[in-house]
Amino acid sequence: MSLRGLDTDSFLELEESIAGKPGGRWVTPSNNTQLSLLAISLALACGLFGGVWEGFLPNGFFELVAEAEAEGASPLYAQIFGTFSAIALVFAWWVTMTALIKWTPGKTRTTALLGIVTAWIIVVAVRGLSHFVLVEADWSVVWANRVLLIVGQQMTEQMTQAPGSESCIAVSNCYGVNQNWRLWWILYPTFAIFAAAYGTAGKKPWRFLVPFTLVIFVLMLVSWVPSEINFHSEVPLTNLLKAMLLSYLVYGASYYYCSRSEEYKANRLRTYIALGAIFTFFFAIMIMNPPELVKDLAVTLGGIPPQGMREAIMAGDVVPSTLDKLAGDGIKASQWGGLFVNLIVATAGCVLGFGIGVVLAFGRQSDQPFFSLPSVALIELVRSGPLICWLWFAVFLMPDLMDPFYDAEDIIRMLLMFGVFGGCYIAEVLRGGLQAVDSGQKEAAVALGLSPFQTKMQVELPNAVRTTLPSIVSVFIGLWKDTTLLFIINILDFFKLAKDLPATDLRFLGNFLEPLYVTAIVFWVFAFYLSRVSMGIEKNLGLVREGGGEAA
Amino acid sequence: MSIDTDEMIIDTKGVKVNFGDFWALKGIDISVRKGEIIVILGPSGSGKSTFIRTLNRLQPHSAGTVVIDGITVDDDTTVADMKYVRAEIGFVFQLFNLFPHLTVMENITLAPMKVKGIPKREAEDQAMVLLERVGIPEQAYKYPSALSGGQQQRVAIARALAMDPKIMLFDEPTSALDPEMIKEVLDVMIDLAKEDVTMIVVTHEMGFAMAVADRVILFDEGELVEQNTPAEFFDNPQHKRTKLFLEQIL
Repeated sequence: MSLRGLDTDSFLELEESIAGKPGGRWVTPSNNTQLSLLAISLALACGLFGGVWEGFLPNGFFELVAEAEAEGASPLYAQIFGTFSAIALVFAWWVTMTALIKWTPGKTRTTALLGIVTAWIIVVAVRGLSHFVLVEADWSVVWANRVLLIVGQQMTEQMTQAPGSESCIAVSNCYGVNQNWRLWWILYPTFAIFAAAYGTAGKKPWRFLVPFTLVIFVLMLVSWVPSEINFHSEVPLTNLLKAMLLSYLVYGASYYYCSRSEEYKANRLRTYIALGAIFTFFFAIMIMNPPELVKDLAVTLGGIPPQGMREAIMAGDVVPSTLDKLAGDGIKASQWGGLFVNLIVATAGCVLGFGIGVVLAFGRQSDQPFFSLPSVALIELVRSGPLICWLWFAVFLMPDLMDPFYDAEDIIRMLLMFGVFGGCYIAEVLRGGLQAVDSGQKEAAVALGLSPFQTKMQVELPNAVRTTLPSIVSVFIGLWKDTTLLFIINILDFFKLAKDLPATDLRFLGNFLEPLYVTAIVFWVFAFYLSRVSMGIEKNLGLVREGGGEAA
Repeated sequence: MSIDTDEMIIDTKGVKVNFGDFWALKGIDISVRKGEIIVILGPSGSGKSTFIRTLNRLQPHSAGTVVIDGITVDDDTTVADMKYVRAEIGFVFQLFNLFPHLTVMENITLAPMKVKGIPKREAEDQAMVLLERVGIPEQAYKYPSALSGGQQQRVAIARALAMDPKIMLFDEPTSALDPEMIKEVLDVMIDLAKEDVTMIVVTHEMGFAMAVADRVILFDEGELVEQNTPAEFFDNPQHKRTKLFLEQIL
C-alpha cells in the first residue's frame, strides 16, 4: 500500500486491504475499477448530502453544518466541523459501499466487517470530538486565563497591576514593581541550554530550528494577541524574541563546534550542558526568591530595594535598576503557581532525584551497614507508599523535622519530597545499571590503583548511567505527571488552576470541561516530548558502539 | 636482558587459592628477580591466571605469602601500601577492559591524574609518548569502540605503563585477538622486554616464550610442574606432564 503513487492498481490494493477482496460473481477484472468509482461517487453523495431527506441516512456535510450553526457555532467553526466529520463520513460510506457493491463479505468476511465497523467508529469519534471542540465548547475560559495558567495568580497580578498597566487605576491597588523580570532571567538560560543541547545532537539544523521557532511563535501568540489580557505585551514579546535570537546563536555555536570537533569534545560539551542545566535549576529557585545573602550583596553593590520607594516609583520619579530589583524581596514560593510550578517541581524531581538516586544506589550496594541500612530503609519505605501520602507527609510532618534548621515553605518542601521520591526510584534503576557494569571494568580500575570511591565515580557510575538513561527518563516522565498531585495540598499548580477556572468569571460558569481538556493536552505534549527525547538518547547509545574491549 | 641484582621483586611462598572446595592454586613458590621475564604456560584451568591475579590482589589468596617489592600483600596490608603495590604493578587483561566511556587519551591519563595527582597536561604528554611507543598516536582522541582489538590491547598496555610500573603482568593478552592482530601486540611486548621491566606473561604464544623469556614455567591443576630456561624447557623437558603438554601444542 503506497500513498505516494496512488495509481489504479495501488488504489485497488488499498481498497482490498480495508474493505476486503471482491466476492460478488458480477465483479470482473474489467469492471472492477468502474465499480470502485461507483462506490466512491455514492460515498461522496452520502457524505455530503446524507440526512437531507429527513434522516433517511446519517447526516452529511450540509446537514451537519446547518445543525452546528443552529446550535450557535460561528459559520467558520461550523464549516470546519462539517469538513472533519464529512471526511470521516465519506471514508465510512466508501468502505460500506465498496463492501456492498463488490460483496466483499462473501470472500473476506472478517476484513469486510472489521473495515466497516472501524470506519463507523471513526465517524463517531471524529464527529463527537470535533463537535465538542468546535461547536459545544467555549474556549474563552482558557484563553482568558492563559497567563494565569502559565505563571499563576501572584505573577499574573504583578503583570497586570504594575505601573503602566491598564488595571493599575489607583496607586493603592497597584504593585510597585513588576516582578516578572525574574521569569525572563529563567527563560534565557533555559532556552540557551535547550538550544545548546540540540546543537550537540548532530541532526539536521531544521529539525531543531523549525519546531523551536514554532513553539516560540505559539508562546508569542499567547502573550501577544490582546484579547482578554490586560498587560503590555511588549515585555513578553521582546523577551521571547531576544530569547529566541539568543537560542539561535547558542545553537549555531554549539552545532558548529560539534560538527568541527571530534566526538570526545562534543561529549565534553554535553557534560558542561548537563551541569549548566543543573545550575539553571538552582539559579531559577534562587532568582525567584533570592536568599538574604544575595539581597544583601545587591545592597552592598549599591542596589536600593524598591519596596520602600513604592510611591516614588508609582509617580514615575524613580525607575528601579536591575540591581535595585535584585535587592528587593522576591516572590515567595507559596505564591508561585501555574505551569511554572509543575515545571519547577518536576525539574526538582529530576535534578535532586538524580543526585539522591546516585547516593542511594551506591549506599545500597555498600558493604558498610552504616551506609547500606539507611539507604535500603529509605528506598523501601518511600517506594512502598503512594506519592500522595508522602505529599501529606511533606505538609504536616516534614516541618517538625526541618523547622529547627530551615523553615521551608510548602512548595520548597514539595520540591524536596519529589526529589526524594524520584531519587528512590532512580536509585533502583541505577542499581540495576551498576550491577550490569562488567566486572572487568572494576578490575581494570582497581589494578590501576584507583580507590573504591574513584572506581565508583569514574568508572561504574558513567557506565551505569549510559545504560540506564532511557529508564531514568521514564522515571522523569512519571514524576512530571505526578506533579498534578500538588493540587491535593492546595498548591495552585496548572491542574488545580484549570479545575477552578470556571469560577473566575460568571460567564465561564459550567465550562469546566474545556480547561481539563487543555490540561490533558499540555501534559501529554510534555510527556510525549520527554519520551521522544528518551528514544533519541537510546538511539544515540546504539550509535556509540558499546563495549570497548568486550566487543572483541 | 641482563639481570642487575639478585633482589627478589616478587616472592611467593605456598600460595593457595580456593573457590569453595575447589583449590585453584595448591601452593605455589615462585621468586622473580628484578628485570626477569617469565612466561607461564599451562592448560586452561591450571591456575596460571589466578596466580598472577593474586600478585596485585585482584584475587585474594587463602594461604601462603605474597611479597611484592618488600611489601607483604594480604588482608593486613595498609591502604597506602596496597596503593603502592598496585602502582608498581601494571596489569594487562585478556579482554583489554578499556573504559568505553573515555577516549584513548582519557583511558591512559585517568590513573596518573587520579592516583598520582599528575597535572593534566603532563599526563597527556606522557600518554602521547606511550602511544607513540605502542605505535598508535593517531588514535589518541578516539573511543575504544572505534579501535581494532589489537589497537585496544596496545592502548591497554600503554594505560598500564602510564603508572610507570616496575612489574608488568599480562593475562593472556593475545588470546582474544584475531590472528593477524596478535603480532602487533607481541611486538610491543617484545620491545617492552628489552627494557628494565619485570614481566610475567601468561600466554600460549610459544614463539614469544622462546624469544624473550628468561624462564618458562608450566602450571597444571594448580601446581607448578616445571620451570626452566626456554632452551631447556622446550628441548629437554624433565617432567612427563611437560612433554605431554608440549606434544599437544607444538
